[in-house]
Amino acid sequence: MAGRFIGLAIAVLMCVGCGIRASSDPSASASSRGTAVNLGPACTATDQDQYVYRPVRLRVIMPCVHLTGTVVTSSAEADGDIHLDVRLDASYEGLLNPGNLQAGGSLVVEPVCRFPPVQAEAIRVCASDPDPYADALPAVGEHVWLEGRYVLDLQHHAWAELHPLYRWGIVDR
Amino acid sequence: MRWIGASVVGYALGATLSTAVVGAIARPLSPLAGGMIVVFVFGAVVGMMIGTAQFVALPRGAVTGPRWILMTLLGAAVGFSVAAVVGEALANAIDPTLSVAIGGGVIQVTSGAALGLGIGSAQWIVLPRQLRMGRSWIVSNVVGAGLGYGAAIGVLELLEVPILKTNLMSSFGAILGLFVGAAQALVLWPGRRRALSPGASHGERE
Repeated sequence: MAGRFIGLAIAVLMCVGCGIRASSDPSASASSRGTAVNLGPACTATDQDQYVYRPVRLRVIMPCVHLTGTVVTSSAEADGDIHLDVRLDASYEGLLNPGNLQAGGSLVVEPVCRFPPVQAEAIRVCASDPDPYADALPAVGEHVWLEGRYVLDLQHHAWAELHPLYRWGIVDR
Repeated sequence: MRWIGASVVGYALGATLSTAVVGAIARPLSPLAGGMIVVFVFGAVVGMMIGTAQFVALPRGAVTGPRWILMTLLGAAVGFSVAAVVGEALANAIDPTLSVAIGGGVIQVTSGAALGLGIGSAQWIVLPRQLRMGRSWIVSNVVGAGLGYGAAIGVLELLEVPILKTNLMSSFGAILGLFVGAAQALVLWPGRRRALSPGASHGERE
């Protein structure tokens, strides 16, 4: 009985992270856009913004933006989110503010509810999401396009974020 | 030390296993009661592992295994559910511009205390009178889980320790278990000595 239970747990653990990797930019090439802050093509929000815990900490600037940049770091957080630091391409650097210096000058990008959180205020919120964003996430070093809600995180130096991340893909070269 | 070690292992395994189980099995339950059913299942799995690990370290014959494990399971399930509600309510009430350490600390310590109250109260019912030392068992769980929850989240959120970050769930459980186990041991140790002293009636229950 114990062996079966452990076997099930291992099988489940092996499946964590399975998903379909996005592979192409649905918009025109990134280089075709070039104003000071070019927000890219039209962007459609998903329902993921309903599963952000403690919504009052985020001031929403735009419901959905499209941008490009390179992933610098990636780490798991106790609130169930993944924290990506993204160095924005020059045409999108205007989205950053002085608070982002606390994040190494990167834009913070957070896909939410990637795994059950341990942070108390996030447990129920993530648990209520029947269809969490489960696609694989970009790896460190990849040049990607990203779409998400553009917010200021009042809890962290009011730095700019994409929170939540709605979708992403590799930028075509 | 045996008790603290068992608690660390139980909480760490519980947090890790519950993540896998909830992620794989409990998703269809998400729409029910706004996710509270999933939280209850999450807590139950954690409690099952805590109860199993701690039972091994309890004095022989002090409690029956199934009873201890079942009560710990129920206590953790209720405790996590209450902690989630309390945590969310506090998070929406506290000014978001307040320092993360203070605002977040209040939320996590209070939530942890709720979890400790659930587990401590459930275990108190089945623990022999000599071992639980009056209400001290419940108090030790509330204090231990409150401090442990706050410390665990604080360490994982504020310190960039790669080995802890890559083993997030087990690290959280181990830190929480360390605090709870240590607090419980402060009650259990004198209680055990008293139970073993000449003239004490072993295994007495209320």
